[in-house]
Amino acid sequence: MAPLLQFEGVSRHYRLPRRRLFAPTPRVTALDAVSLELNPGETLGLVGESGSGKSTLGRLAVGLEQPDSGVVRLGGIDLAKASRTDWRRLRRDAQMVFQDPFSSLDPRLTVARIVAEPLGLLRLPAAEAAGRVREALAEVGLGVETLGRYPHEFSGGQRQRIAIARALITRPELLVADEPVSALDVSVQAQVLNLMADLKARHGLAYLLISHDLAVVAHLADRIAVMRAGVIVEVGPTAELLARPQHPYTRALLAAVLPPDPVRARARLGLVRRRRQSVGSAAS
Amino acid sequence: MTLLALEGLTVDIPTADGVARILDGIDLALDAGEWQGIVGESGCGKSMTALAVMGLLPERAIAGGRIVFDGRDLLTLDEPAMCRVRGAEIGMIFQEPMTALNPVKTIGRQIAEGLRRTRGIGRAEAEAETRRAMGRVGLDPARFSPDLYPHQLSGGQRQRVMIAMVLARRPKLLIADEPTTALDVTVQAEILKLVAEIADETGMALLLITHDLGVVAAIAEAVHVMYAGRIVETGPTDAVFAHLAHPYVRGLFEALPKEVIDPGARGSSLTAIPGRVPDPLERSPACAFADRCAFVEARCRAERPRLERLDRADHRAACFYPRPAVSD
Repeated sequence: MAPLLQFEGVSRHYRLPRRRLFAPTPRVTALDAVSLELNPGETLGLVGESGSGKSTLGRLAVGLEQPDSGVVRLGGIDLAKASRTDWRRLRRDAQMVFQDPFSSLDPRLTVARIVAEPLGLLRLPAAEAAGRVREALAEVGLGVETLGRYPHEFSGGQRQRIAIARALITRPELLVADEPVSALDVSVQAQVLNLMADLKARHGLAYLLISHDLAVVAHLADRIAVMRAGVIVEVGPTAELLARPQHPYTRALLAAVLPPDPVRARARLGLVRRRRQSVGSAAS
Repeated sequence: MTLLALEGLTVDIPTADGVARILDGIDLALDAGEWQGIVGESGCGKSMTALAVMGLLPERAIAGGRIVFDGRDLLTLDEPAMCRVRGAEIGMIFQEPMTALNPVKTIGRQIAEGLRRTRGIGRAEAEAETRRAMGRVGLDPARFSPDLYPHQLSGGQRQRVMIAMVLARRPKLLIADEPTTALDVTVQAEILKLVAEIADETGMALLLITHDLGVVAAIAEAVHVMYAGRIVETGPTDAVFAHLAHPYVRGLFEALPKEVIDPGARGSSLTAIPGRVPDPLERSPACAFADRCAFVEARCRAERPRLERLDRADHRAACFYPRPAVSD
């Protein structure tokens, strides 16, 4: 099976502001020769801390940025060599969902227009386009009554549903989701994660799921790639990576998770209280 | 001995559409040296509770009830008196240390400033004390000069500066509002541990405010879960986590993805809580969770549940139909 998305030795640098007039411009390496593949229908989780390069990789995947070296292939097409016709197909096949559902939706547009936006690529007849909008909203659990409303009328979780509906409307094969739930509260986060799992099961959608939250990634991903300082330090099937992390950084990430269980969480933190007996155990 | 007692604390904020009740009768008692946590989702009122104790409520807000700290009702103090309590007797660290620190003053000056003001010590002594405090929070003065500015530090280092400021002043109570939320995962645990160690060494009481059940489980001896401006379940942390009696509290726990902490959880779908947190102006005078609750009965929409004792006197939930304890 040919990979749906392929990074081959991809590097990306950013220039920083010059510190002195005649000094060379400092550069940071966001990605350092990264190679990674994503198969059709697969969910690949990309986990790492701020500045690890995970968002840059996501932006490269959909052509929002270009690599300084290396090749990004989407559906077998080298993005650096893609023609206009190729791009039309690529933009249909790969869509993106961003972290902040408050800034990624245009506040002046109705839900109907926001969701229909990517359809401009497909040049569909109006009636079919309207049908697609209703269908995409239904996919994410929103009714037709939302069509004429504006983003500010919705909660964070609902806005993220609107953003997902907009991404789904072109019937893509790949959804790049950059921190799709990190702006949401736990109870609402679960709604969106369940929706993403449903869409995957129903349509065989592939996800590149980018998150700092290992718990979120572990829940949805078939495979996990751990990134640090522009490099993938470890990649493997989710269950295996969780059970037998090889790289010390993966182990550190796993060890930093505090379970919602007082006994285990205290043990994780390794906290020994000297001054006072625990009130809980004193009272029982 | 009770250090802090909130008695029927209410906070109202007038809006164009009416008065929004942000806090709706909060009761809690914190002993000297005790560590408690308030946990809840955005908009539940947990940060507003912290701001009320600090006397930092928004201008338009109207507070009711009592906030008794060390024998005084803080709500009756004037601003100069409150100023003497703030920082010196009650310290606070916030989620975003960049906004809490002054960007144009060196970190050394910021740590020493509070010291000299509250403890009335001289410049040289304050400087020595500043270096000691910096060393204790992991900012070794050999590597981190007190002459650095906040922007020259990372998020975790800035949070260490905030902790050094608290440590130097030795308040009786430390309020930590999401102290690790803005930090990277691996730094979170370090900072959390540091806060706890400092509180332990100084005998400070700790009121930890967080959305993270893992954080509160690791640190707090007693926990209060808030929803829509009220405490819905409260008790010793072990008892609350062992039971999860209130349907909202149970729901929060079940909504968490658990693969990382429990390999057996793989492939199961999450139990989401349907709907959304009600707007303060639309909260039901009866049970505020009724519209999202899977176990709702007629009584829940008619009457407001009080905090009632469960298996033990100090574990209480505001629910007419608390969930049975989890058996495993």
